[in-house]
Amino acid sequence: MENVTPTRMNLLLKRRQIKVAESGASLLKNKRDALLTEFLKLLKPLLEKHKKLDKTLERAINTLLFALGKDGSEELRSAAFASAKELILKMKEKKVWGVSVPEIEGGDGKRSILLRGYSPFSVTTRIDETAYSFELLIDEIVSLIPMEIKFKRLGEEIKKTTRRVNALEQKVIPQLKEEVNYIRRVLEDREREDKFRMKLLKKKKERVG
Amino acid sequence: MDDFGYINARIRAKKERLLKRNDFEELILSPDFNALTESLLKTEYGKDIEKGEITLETLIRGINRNFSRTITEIINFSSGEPRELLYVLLSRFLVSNIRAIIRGKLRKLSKEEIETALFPVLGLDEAKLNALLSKETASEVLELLLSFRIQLPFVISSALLRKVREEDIDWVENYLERSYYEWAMGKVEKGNGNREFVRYMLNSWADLKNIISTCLYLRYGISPAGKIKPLPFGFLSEYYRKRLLMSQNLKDAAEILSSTRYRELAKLLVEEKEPLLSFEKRFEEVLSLWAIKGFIKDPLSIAIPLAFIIAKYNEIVNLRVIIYGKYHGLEVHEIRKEVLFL
Repeated sequence: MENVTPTRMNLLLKRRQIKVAESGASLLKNKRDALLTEFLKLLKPLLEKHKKLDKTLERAINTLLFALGKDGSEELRSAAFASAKELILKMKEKKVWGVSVPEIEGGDGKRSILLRGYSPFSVTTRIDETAYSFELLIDEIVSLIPMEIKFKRLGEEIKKTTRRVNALEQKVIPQLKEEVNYIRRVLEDREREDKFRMKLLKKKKERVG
Repeated sequence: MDDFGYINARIRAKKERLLKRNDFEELILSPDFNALTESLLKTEYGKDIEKGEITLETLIRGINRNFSRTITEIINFSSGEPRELLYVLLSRFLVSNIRAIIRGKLRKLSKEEIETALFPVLGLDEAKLNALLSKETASEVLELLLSFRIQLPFVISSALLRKVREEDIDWVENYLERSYYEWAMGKVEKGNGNREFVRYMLNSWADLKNIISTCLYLRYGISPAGKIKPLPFGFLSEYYRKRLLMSQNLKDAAEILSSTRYRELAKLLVEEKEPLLSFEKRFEEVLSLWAIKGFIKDPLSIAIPLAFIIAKYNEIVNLRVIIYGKYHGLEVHEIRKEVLFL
């Protein structure tokens, strides 16, 4: 309390600060609740998406393994040379309760055989199936990216907001309140001293008079 | 004179070294990859697997090396007609290699990357292959190939060179397939039972290519009419090939095929959960089973070496399926489903 100047001006200032801190904490709590709702809303679809991704991945790996076994890695690599393509993704940012979450456009990995870069005469069904399965997998991954990032960022923001609320409620506001009490106490003491001094002065005057 | 007697005696000795069903079962039931490696090292493949730390790659490389060595041996001790006929069939690998080089060059891949897509069977010798891989562009590769003045299983025409320069990959790949079949069929067009045997294989492969390419389009909901030019070979007549192109879905295709020699296989296109994969797998199985019956055919014919090559190829395919399956922890029943016991 050494650096707190016990003045009436400061008392008013500290009281105002308490009000601001309390309304800030309440706002932050509201924000945290809203974020939590968003976070929980995302949880189920995210888990479902992960399950779907696991299934797609399992299928893609199985088709790849059998294509590797039956056609050989050479034939598979050769087909991969022909069908390699760049996947262009456009990312946009959207704000959810002040949190930036990405949105992805253009991640369509799936292609028809016409766009796969090889002739249907020069591949087996196994190889084409492998290409198809991995294109599906890419689509799954791309659609999962914004959800994952949103989930992660919401989680981080909830943590950050909770920390702020805790800091306000458990540190800033109690400290301000203590400071207010201190100032009030000092001011009251001063007032009492003044009154006592005035009384003494009055008595002195009466004696002299 | 074509010494089928000598060739087939040597092939029969090699046949004895092919893995039996019990051997495959032992490999499939190996508890893990290390146990599988141990078992494999005790077989014929042991000497082709590099010494030292054994990884998935060294195992696969060893198996492929064994196949390549066996085929080269057979070609080397064959002469005359058998050698010519085997070359006709095995040239499919050369076509695949040239296709891989063209694809790689069009994608501007490095020499080392392209090398990973080349079959180590009946290719060009190392010096020629290196020279081809060192070329900058796909058309330069073909021009150099032309200058080698070796027998190629396809024709390097000016149209091919132009299309390669234009990077019309679909045209180029269709041309290579068509040109190979024209060349191969030309080699076995007329003649005795030996040529007839090879013709049977080529016609079956051509049918498989025509059916699968059409069905692949149908699978994506694309009408194949006007987009595919079927190979003018195979057991399917032109009438059926054309009708197949007009089909709108796999059910139509199955109905058309049900009036051909493939009526049993056609059922798979409507009954199976994965119709195309099942059809292709069964087609290959039937063809392999037909080919290995060659072991009990005329001992003085191409049937025996051909049956052996098909059996050997099936063996390395089975081994690869088991190795990849075990390495990635697939269930025994999943692996066994894909292994073909001849």
